[in-house]
Amino acid sequence: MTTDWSTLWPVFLTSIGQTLVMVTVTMVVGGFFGLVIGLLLYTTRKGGLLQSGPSYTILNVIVNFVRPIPFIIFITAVGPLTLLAMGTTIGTAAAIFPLTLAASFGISRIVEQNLVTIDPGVIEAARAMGASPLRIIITLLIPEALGPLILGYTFAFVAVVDMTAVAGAVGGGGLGNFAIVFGYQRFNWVVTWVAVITIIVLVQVAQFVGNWLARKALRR
Amino acid sequence: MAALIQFQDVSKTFGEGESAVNALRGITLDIEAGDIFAIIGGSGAGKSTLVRMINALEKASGGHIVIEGTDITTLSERELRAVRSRMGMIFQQFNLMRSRHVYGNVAYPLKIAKWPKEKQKDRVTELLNFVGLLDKAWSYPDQLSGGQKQRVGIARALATNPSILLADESTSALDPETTEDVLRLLQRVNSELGVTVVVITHEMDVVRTIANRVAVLERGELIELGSVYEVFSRPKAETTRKFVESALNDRPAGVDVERLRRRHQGRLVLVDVTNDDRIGRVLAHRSRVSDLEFEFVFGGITSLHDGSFGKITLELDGSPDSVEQAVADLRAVTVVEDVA
Repeated sequence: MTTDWSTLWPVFLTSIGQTLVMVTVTMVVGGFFGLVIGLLLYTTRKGGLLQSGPSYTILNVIVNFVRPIPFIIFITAVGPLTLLAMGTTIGTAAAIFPLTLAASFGISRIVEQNLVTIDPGVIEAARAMGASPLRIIITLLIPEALGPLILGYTFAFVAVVDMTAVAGAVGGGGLGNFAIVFGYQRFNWVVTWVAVITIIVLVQVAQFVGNWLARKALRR
Repeated sequence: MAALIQFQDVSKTFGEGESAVNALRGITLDIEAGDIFAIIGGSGAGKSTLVRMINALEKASGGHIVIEGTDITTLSERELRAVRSRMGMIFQQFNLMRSRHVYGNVAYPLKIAKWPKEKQKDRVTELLNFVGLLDKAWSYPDQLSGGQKQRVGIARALATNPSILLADESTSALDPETTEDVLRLLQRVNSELGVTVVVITHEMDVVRTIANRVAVLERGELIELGSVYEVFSRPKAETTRKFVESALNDRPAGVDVERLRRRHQGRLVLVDVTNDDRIGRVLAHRSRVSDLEFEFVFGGITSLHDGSFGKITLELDGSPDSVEQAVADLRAVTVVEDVA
């Protein structure tokens, strides 16, 4: 069976573009909100800088509520919210909204877990110098946990690439969709594997860059 | 003039209701400007809580804490931050930021206090010079030894020219030689920079080496307070006596006594040595006028900020009469007990 690359090539390039857009926007926006929620989870817990039982419980429940929902269901289930936020429930933009939402909550746990490893004594030392909670968060918590945080975000990047494969469900396109529609559904293993290898390269590059940055941050 | 730091009937309770724990009860004490004030106690005595109340990392549940004339128990969190920035604190585990080099660690409190960059640089250089670590400015904490880390901690704590330095078990993680270096540095901080130092420790040796005043804590209560000499030479509470003896090891116990008995046939007596005793003269006199012979067989004398003291075990030999008379004469100048 021959593959007609002259017609597939533009579709393939568009799919790569869609995947990159979805992953980038999700990592930037979801990464930011994930960081904020993660910091809030960490600082509002018992003994934290902004200790607040109710805030922690509410955040914790929301995060636990969202995280176990399989993304293929989540992407369709938040449809009404997507419509409200993006004005449409179809296309790449429509896929980005649920991606960002899911990534925010997923990343928040990764951030929280990495912050827990910071020695509480260092935070106490900063408090003893008269540092405000906000200053401690920005100039101490994030720099002290930077290495593990970079590795955590690299992990999240790979998970987001995985999630974008489902974007086809709402017409979001992307490499996952390309592999299913032009590969799987047409019994064309070559196309499927071209998409798979492209994703593998993308993930490998991200992992390599993440490891390199983390090593720099950890000075190892 | 009022004391620099005053605790007035201060208490601290953790938790509520059934599970409430009284960490501190009825603490009243004054720390004068220029003191090296030691707070000693076993684990769980409440000493770490006590020191953290001075910079309000822990809030008092009752009573008043007055620092430089301000009752800090009435201040808001924002006002407390200003109070904290005028005190330095050092820790058992140093608590340096691993992500910053030595320079960055020492400059951190200056950034909080919004010093201009140029002044920060001069100050950090001056501080690193003071603690003898100028050549390590661009090293990271992982690359330093324990003693060096604590010296960085001290430089950082002194950055904003505080009038008070709080030291929480600052030498407990260090070996004896490094401990000595760090204690000497704290002493310089006190004498050269005029900083009042509050030292928390479970090691009597630390108190002995640098403090001039000491408070003994036991299960949340202040059981003894006074000059180090007073407390060491005449400990009133049982706990204090144990602390003193653990540090000095000048009273023969159990196995020591057996060994001494095996080697010495004369009468063994334990005498207290304090500043104004005349034990040597008494013994010299008795052996001149009678057949008394004596030997020093155990013990030691310690020098403190304001005096020397210790215990010496003597072997007294000779006719029963001359030994008896020697003991009587010794009793006239000091405390004498027979070694059991």
